[in-house]
Amino acid sequence: MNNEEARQILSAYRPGGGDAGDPYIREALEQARRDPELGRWFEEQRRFDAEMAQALRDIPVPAEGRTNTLNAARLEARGSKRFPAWLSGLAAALVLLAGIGVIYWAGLHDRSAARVVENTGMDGFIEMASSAMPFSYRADSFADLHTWLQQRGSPVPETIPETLAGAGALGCTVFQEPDGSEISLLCLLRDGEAVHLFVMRADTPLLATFPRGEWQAREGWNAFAWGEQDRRYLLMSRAPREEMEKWIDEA
Amino acid sequence: MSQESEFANLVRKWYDPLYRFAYSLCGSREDALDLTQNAFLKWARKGHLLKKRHRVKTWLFTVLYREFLDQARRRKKFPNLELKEEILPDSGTGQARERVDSRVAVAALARLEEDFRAPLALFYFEHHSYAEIAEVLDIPIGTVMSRIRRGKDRLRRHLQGSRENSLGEVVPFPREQSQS
Repeated sequence: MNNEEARQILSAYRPGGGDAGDPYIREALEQARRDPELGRWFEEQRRFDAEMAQALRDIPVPAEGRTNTLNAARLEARGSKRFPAWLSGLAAALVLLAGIGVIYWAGLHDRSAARVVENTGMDGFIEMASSAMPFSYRADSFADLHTWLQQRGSPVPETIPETLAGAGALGCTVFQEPDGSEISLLCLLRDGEAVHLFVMRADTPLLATFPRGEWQAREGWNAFAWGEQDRRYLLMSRAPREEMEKWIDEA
Repeated sequence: MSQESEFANLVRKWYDPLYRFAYSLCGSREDALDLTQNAFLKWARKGHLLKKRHRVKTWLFTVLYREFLDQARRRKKFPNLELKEEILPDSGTGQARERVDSRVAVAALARLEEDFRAPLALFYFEHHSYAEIAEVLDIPIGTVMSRIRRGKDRLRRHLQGSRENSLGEVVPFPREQSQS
């Protein structure tokens, strides 16, 4: 082994010494001990490596990352066990997302940009609920989601029941109808169940077949729409309807 | 051990290393969160197919790296990306301008071509030997060694350049000292 080869091998010697048992590295280390010039080069290399390794270890990790990952996995597992049909819906939605991804990524380059929704009525809401992740914005409180949507100029809930405002949150995603108007989807967590709250303007075509004050059920989803002035809300979950009725009693 | 607690243990053990790797690749907090979460969700869906369970570490890093490449291709930003200034909080202490902190390190990594960035990041996080890095990146061992060495040379040049450029900067007075 010449010094050039030794340098190449020693370059891959991890700063913490984890590769000392590797035969190539052992031989290169031995050569660095014998050759003063190579030894000096190696010492300088080790100093630089230790500094870089420490710097990268100091990258802060967001506290909510683990919790959100565990919650997302739980939700996914629950969905796949209880509602197998939903998974095929999700797969279809993912294919759709991949298609519109070109527009989403190349055209907008902005994580907060709205995603296009094409179906109408209950189908449209199921499509959105199934493709909510990855979220445009993650937060664990309703207040944070509200602030983010407001700053973005997207529809925000003004008056909603305390039972929902006080629920845990996962994140939100903004969708766009063909006419360009936006629909905010807030994903909340109530009693371990995912709760989707859609906020939109009153004359959205998406709600044309979904009158205010009526319940609809499809593919394991229950949904209820209500509203105030020019704002409409739609609550959607896989929780039993009786349970959901309690949540919106105050609405 | 239930499947759920096994998954939770996996997240507990590997979340931070995976997030840091993702962050060093993409330089964006939100993208790194997505990449990391997606890698774990993929494990939740397909992990049972992995016969050699002890290879879960390599599996997770490989999945994350491939997802990053796909994402980068989609964004057409490949191979270079710019680090946004607000991504990592400035330490603000003004101490040790010669020392490399995480913000400077990630910024320097971001200036490297992706071919060098990924092997170097994996190398510095120290969870993988050079042979495992070759497996994650799906390139020969000799290429890994060569890229690590050449990558370090480039990294030094970038760091040297940023140090020289920062010589004229005003260093904020350390807050702790000013309060005492």
